[in-house]
Amino acid sequence: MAGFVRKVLFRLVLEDAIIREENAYRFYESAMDRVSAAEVRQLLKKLCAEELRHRLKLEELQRRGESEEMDFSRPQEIELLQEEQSWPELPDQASARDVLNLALIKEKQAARYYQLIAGRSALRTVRELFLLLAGEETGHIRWVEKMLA
Amino acid sequence: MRGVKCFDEEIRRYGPYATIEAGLRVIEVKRITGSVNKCHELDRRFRTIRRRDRRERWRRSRLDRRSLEYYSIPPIDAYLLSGQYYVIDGNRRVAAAKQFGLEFMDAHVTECVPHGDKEAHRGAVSRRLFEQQTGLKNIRLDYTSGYADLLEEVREYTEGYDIAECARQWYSEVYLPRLGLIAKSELKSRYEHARKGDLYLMVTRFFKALMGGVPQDVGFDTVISSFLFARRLRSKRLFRRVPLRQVYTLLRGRVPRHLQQSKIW
Repeated sequence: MAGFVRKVLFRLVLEDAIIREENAYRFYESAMDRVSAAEVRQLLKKLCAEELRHRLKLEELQRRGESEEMDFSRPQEIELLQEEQSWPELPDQASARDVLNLALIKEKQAARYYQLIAGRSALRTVRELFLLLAGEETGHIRWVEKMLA
Repeated sequence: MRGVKCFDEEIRRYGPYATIEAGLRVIEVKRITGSVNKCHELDRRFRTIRRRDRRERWRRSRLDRRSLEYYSIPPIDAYLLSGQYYVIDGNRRVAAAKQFGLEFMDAHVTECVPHGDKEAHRGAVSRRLFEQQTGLKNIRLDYTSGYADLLEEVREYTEGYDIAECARQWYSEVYLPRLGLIAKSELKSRYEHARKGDLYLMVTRFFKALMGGVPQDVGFDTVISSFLFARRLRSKRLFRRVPLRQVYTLLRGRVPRHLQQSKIW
């Protein structure tokens, strides 16, 4: 029973992370249409590609079903983060700076989220994947900060 | 009963054309739909329409049936125009193939490419190049511009080794398994009439434009799923409809206390 519940929860957590990546992808995709500066568009395309790459990794893990060693003893953190999950709609008049500022906030949230999830997993491969994702999200933060500067 | 298509009538619609030798290849019998010289004498199954000749043909076909058990049908000569084959020489062999329900047969093929259709011309040339370099002649695409992409993919796969040798390996280890996954996916059910090869290219082109190539560290079924998402062709996801927080709350009450307190749970 406990094994089954763990498996279901593990898949739910992964699905939750996949939804995050999908929302981020859609945000950058729609932002690309509203921004005209070539270098900002290039950055948004790069971020789009990154979010889709993360989605691929998470879904691959979900398909392989490595679910044995996940610590779900502190649900309130997941609940807290889940509330921050959705990306706001971009207004029609949003400037490149508005887009980047929003992206910065959401990338920081994503990095924190993956760090938390990584801390929950006792299985090395799963933990490493989430740490890798957290590291990559931190990389995105640097890209956006550099562009804002 | 309607007869076979006439090559002359079909080619007249396209205007002047060029021919490209495509060489000996295995062709689908169902795509042989016309004849060059005898279109008014044959029915749709390539049997002669005149009754007197039919009796003679029936006698011969009985012999053919016996000989088919021991020999394969020799290659026919045919024109390829707009995806359909027109028999130059070998109408009776085609009739026998259709009668015995053969799916494929050998043919010396000459491709006809109308001058006005520049895209078809480019496509035919790129297909010829692909077939010459890789030796793979069974890959069918409706959008022939895709052959150039496939050739590039094969070149990347071979990594400098002999392309003709590695191409077969690519075909059996990469291309065919991926087409199998496409056939099972929702992509195929959404584009029912599209060729699997064309769908494969649709997916690989998307990832190439966005990421520089198809990610190699995940399965191709996962790649298809992400493509469906990115193209807003959302696939069914079992866990998508379940709200994580509510399920957790629900389960929490049912999980034994010792498991709730253990490190792993």
